[in-house]
This record gives sequence, C-alpha cells and structure tokens, in this order.
Amino acid sequence: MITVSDAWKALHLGQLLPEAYVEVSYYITEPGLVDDVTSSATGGAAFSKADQIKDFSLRSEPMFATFENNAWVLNGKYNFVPSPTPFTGDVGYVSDAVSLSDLTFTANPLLTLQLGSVHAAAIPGITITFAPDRNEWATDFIVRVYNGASLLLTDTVTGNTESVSVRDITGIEDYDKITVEIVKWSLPDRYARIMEIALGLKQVYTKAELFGYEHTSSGNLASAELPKNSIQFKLDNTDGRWNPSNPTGLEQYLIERQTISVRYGFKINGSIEWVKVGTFYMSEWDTPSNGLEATFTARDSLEFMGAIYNGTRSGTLAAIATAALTQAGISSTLYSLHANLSAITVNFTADTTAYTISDILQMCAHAAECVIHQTSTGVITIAPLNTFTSDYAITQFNSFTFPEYTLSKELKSVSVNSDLGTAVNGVTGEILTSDNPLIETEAIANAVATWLVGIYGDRRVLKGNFRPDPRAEVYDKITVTSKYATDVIYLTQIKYTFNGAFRGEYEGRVMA
Amino acid sequence: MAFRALVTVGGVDLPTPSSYIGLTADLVDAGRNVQGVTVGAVVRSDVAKVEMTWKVLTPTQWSDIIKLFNPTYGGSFFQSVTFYNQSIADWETRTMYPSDRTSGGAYRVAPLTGVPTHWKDCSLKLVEA
Repeated sequence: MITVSDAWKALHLGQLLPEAYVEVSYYITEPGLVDDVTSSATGGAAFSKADQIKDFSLRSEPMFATFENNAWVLNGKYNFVPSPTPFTGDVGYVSDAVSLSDLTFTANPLLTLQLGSVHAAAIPGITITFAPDRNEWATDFIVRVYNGASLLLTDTVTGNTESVSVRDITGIEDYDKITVEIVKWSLPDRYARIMEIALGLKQVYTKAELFGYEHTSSGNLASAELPKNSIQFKLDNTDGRWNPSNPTGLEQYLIERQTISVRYGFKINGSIEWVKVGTFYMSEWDTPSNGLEATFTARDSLEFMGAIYNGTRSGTLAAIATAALTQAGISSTLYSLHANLSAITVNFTADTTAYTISDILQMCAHAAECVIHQTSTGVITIAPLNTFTSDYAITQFNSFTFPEYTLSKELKSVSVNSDLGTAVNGVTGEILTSDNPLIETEAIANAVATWLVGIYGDRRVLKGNFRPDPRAEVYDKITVTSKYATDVIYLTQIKYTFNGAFRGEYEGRVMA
Repeated sequence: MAFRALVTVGGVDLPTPSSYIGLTADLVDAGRNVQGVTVGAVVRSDVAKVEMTWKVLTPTQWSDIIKLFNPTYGGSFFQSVTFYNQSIADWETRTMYPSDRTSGGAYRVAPLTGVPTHWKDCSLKLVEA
C-alpha cells in the first residue's frame, strides 16, 4: 500500500472524489547513462547534496527555513535543517552564497556532471530542474559539453522563466562531461538551487496530454511466477512528433529501457497531493506513420531479467539473489532481501541447467516463502507477504459490482520436490506439486509445502470492479465486502484505468 | 464606463444577442455502486458554455460571425472567447469551440432581387475546449 496522507484516505470515503491527476515523466536518454555519471559542484551549502542531482528521483525539496530575504513564510511548510549536518536526505544542490541585488553571484555556481567514459550515443538535450517548489530558477545560465579538455558546444541561456528548463540541444555525442554555470537567479538574496540535472530530455505528460492511461499489475502469492507491473499510455501524435519518418521527431531517440516515472495525485484542500507510483522502463511503442496517437508500454525492471544467470550456485539464498540482481545491473540501493534468504544455504553446482536471472530470483523467493515485487519507489523486494490487514477496504460503497467468487480446485495436499516435503490439506482433491532446485532439505521442503497449503487451502478467488483508491497495490492484504460476507484477501491482480478519473478492476485470493 | 460587448471572439465583438444563456458544468465520471448510490469522481470542474440567439441579423453580420470559426476566412475552430461568466460575475477569456451555426431563414427578402436582407433566429453555442 502506497503511503498517503490521512486527508487522501478520508476523501476516498466520500461520494464524490475531487479531481485526480496522472503524471508520466519520460526520460529520453541513453539507458544506463545515469549510472556512469558523477555530479559535483563548487560552493555548496553545508546541507547541499550536489551528488544527488544526476538522477531522476522526482524529489521534492524539503523546504528548509533559511534567512534568505522574504523566503521563509510562516505557513507550516518549512523545516529547520536537521542536526548534525551534513543532511542525509534528498535536498539537491544549494549554493553557499546568495544572489546579489542585480541577481548575479559573486562567484557563479558551477555544477559538473562527469562521465566515467566518453559516450558516443547522442542525447537530445538536458533537463534542469531548479527550484519548482519555491517557484525560482536561473534566468541566465550556460551549459557546456566537453570531451576531455575539448569544449564541444556551448548553450547560453538568457531570460529563462521556467523552474524546469528543457534544453533541446543538438549534437551532444562523443562527450564525457557537462557543466552548468549559473549566471543570474530569478530573485535577489536567494541561494541558487538545482534539484536535478537530467542528461536527456525529460518530458512530463499530464492529463492534458494523455489520451489514455492504464496501469496493470499482477503477482503470484506462491512465487510460482514473477509479478508483472506495466503501464500503457497514449499521447497526441497529430503533429507527427512520434512519427518514425519525421527526421526531427522524437521517435529517433526511443530506446528500450528508457526510464519512466509515474505519479498519481488528488486535489486536496486546493493543492495536489502527489504519490510516486513506480519507475518503469520503456518496453514497446506503437507510433504509426499516419496515426493520431502514439501508444507506449513500459514495464518494471523485473521484465528485463531474461539473461542466463552466471553467478554463484552455492551459498545462502541471499548471496545467490544478490548475484542475480547484480548481474542484472540492479544497484544495492534498489533491492531489499528479507532475512529468510540469509537463513537458507544451498549448493546446486551439480545442476547445469541454464536458469535465467528471473528464474533464480523466483526460486529464491519460493524457497524462502517470500514474494517478489518492485515497490513504488523502485526497490525490488523479496519478503514474506505482509500479515497486516490494510486500512483500505473494498466495500459495497466503492464497488460497482459485487465481488464475483470463483473456486479453484479442491486441494488435497502439496508435494514439494517429489515428496521431499509434503503437507496435507484434506482427504479429497488434487495434489499440488512444486519443484524447486533451491529446496534441498526435508525441513525446508516441508515448510514450503505447509506455506503453500496456507495459500491454496482456501479455494475462493474474488474479483470485481470498483472506484479505486490507486494507493492499493498487488500483495496488499485488504478486506472485501460482498453481499453476505466480508473476506480478507491478498490482491493478486489490479488494473487502474484513467480517463480523467480512476476506474479499477481487482482480483484476490482469500487466505485462511 | 464604456459599453462592453457581452461576447468577444478572437478580439471581435459580437452583436448584442437577443438571448444569452450561460452554463457552468462539472464533468464527473460517475456510476452507481452496488447499493444503488451514485459515486463518482470529478474529471474537470467549471466548464463553461454560452448559448446566444439573435432575433434578427443582417446577412453580413451573421456571415462575419460564422467566418470567425472558418480557417478559410482567417478564423479558427478553437477561438479565444471573452464572455461574461456567470460563475464569477465578470468577463473571462477561455478557449472555446462552436456548435452548429444555425439560422431560422430569411426574415426579409429584397422584393426585386430575392436577396435576403435579414436573417431571423440566428443561434450560436460556444463550448469550452
């Protein structure tokens, strides 16, 4: 369940929801480029974090109270800088000197994005996010692109009036360094701030630009298959910007695995409360030459783990999963493994089967009685199902249809790895078999069998249509009220459709 | 205080209409829940629409209005419309598009040439884009 405010929760109990928003931020850039960038700056404040500005985190400024002239409004939204410094949260770059009365600086702040090697692939420009939360920006700044000591090109900007500046610069290729020099700020007596410098064009599509949006996710409670989490969105193509035959169009920059971030929002008390929904990666696009719409599909990182696993085949499940995730290029900050995986040691070196990375992760999760999913903040998590029932409920009030019950086949027993472990559920029904080469002992096989009985022992599967609160995610444990009863289910499938407002479909399994 | 046209389209004042209906709408995605109660979500608030009729206009006046929305004559389907908005009791400018432009036929015809000299019951609706 995505964390939201109490006000967000309360409005979903009302008969009429306020206006809802979807924001899709698409980064047209070289995939993986951000991993090769190191950012730094001259003259930062004590709490400045210039090393953060290179990523695409959609961070919000913490709004620290400072003594800049007319900056600290007593509206309850400002915080003091936590002690001790340096501050470890998201803050981006903040200069150590304020702008002068003529908006210039005594020493121009200079931010540098250094790449580990020369990148030949072209990027269509850069996107600089100054301080949108304060509605401030650099009016004059200079972007320089280097290859070693050679200055390749200079983009001088004067009179900028946007807090997010998208610089469409032709010719950024064969480069290894980009600098941004701030010359003038939009207000006097203010620190220069940069939340983010994205190497590439950051295109933000809101409900004004989206012709359609769907978010579909599904998961398997027994880790019998990997979860799927994807979005599909449609954009206006009447001007041909996505037309493959348009030489100046954006289609030429479309590459698989480009990053897409999504936020949902609701207008609450006059302002929009946003929540991050997830990070996705461009997977497919359909941009017909004569089409009025361009359709894009993006999936989470678990979809891109089809390579053959070549890591260790002995050690703890945590070590094996770490090797698999590392091979997939997932940094250690973007995955989380439950302690269950460290408690089980296996050795399947004799097994020469070519498993994919996704196979390995799935088998590790299954053996450790866990599920895999990617959180809304983009962290791949392998952990047991949450045992807490969420405060969110699908009730008769927010259901457009009563939940439809289907019954899976009656379960007699579970057999793991050809009866290495077994668990009995009843005297009739089918025997569920499970084979996992990472289950090697009778104790673990029995534990997994018992776990599977717990999941499949109750035959009831529910599905229905509802007016959703889009904070609900797959694997959430929630209550669903039907005509005669209230059941506790784990969500296994959820689909949000946005056509100006959210509509939802869900499916879940009742667990005893 | 100078007289101000009730509706201006693309900077061109329209003749004062014989009737003027202002309409403010909220677009809501609604459905009935299993209890039979309507539940919904606002898609967009405060969408404006104005409906105007003129009892009598000269052919030139009516033609000039129609041409405002015709690109062939320098007009545009979507126009910047300044109108007296009932929601705020003041003039406001929004982007709008027209409905069918209809007239009720010739009110008067020149007896020697058969050319209409006046149209009657001309009607125009403008809807916020």
